[in-house]
Amino acid sequence: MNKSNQSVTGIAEISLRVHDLDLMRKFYEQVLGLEVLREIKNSDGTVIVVFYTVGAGDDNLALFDEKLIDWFTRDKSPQIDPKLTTLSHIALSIALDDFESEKKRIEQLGIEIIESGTSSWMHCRMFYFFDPEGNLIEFKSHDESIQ
Amino acid sequence: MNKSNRRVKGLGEVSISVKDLDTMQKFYEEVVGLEVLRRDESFVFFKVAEGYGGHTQNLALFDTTNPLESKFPELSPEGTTLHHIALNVALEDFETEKMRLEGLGMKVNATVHEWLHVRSLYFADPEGNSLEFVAYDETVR
Repeated sequence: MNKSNQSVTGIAEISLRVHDLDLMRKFYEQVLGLEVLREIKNSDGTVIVVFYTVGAGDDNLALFDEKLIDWFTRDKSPQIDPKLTTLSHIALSIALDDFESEKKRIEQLGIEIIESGTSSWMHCRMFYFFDPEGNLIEFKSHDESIQ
Repeated sequence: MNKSNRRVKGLGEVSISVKDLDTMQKFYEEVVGLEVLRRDESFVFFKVAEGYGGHTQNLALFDTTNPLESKFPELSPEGTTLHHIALNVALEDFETEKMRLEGLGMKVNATVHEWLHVRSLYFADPEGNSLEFVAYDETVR
């Protein structure tokens, strides 16, 4: 693939699996000085995910409580012991125009799209797949029509 | 810290540890569609986008035989696939950030990477993930 038809336009988000969300929040907010973008709460009101804005652009860093472990591993990533890796997933930006064609291209390569979805608060659509060693990759497009 | 003086300017790089560098390079090149910036014996860097202040935003794959030194036994280099996360800082903030982090009692390892023309500070978060503050510096050759 040559440079001119690279569909990925940026790293949208890096997400970490964390053991102690309170401790980790304190560090990412007070030491690194990141700004909270959004907190996601459990049904009982406990915060389980925190999204941060990184810099002036659209880059995000997120901390996912390890209680959400099933969300990103299920049984689809046998190579990786979810208790040992701290990487939850990496999100890469693609243009909305490329969203359906990229999804089709990746499926045609024989790679399973394990989930597709939308996020109303982030105004985006996304799909997920695993790399050959079981890391979860997300392709994500900004879509203002998703509210 | 209010918004105006936030020191972290962007995601500079995400690096993952891999077992089979050739297979993983092929996937990230052909499936994900990234452009190879540099391939070495034990790592490959992909350029994802233009980054902050002259730096490129990269995704890197590191052979697991080349782990960052870890002081965190709970995170074995064999177990985690996250190698490190690099966050962009401005060159003019580099020394003050180094002093600030050291002042917080953290062990900070400063280095330069000639081929990327950057200065780097390495430190760890409370659960042992390696973080890097990286500043683009044209004079680093």
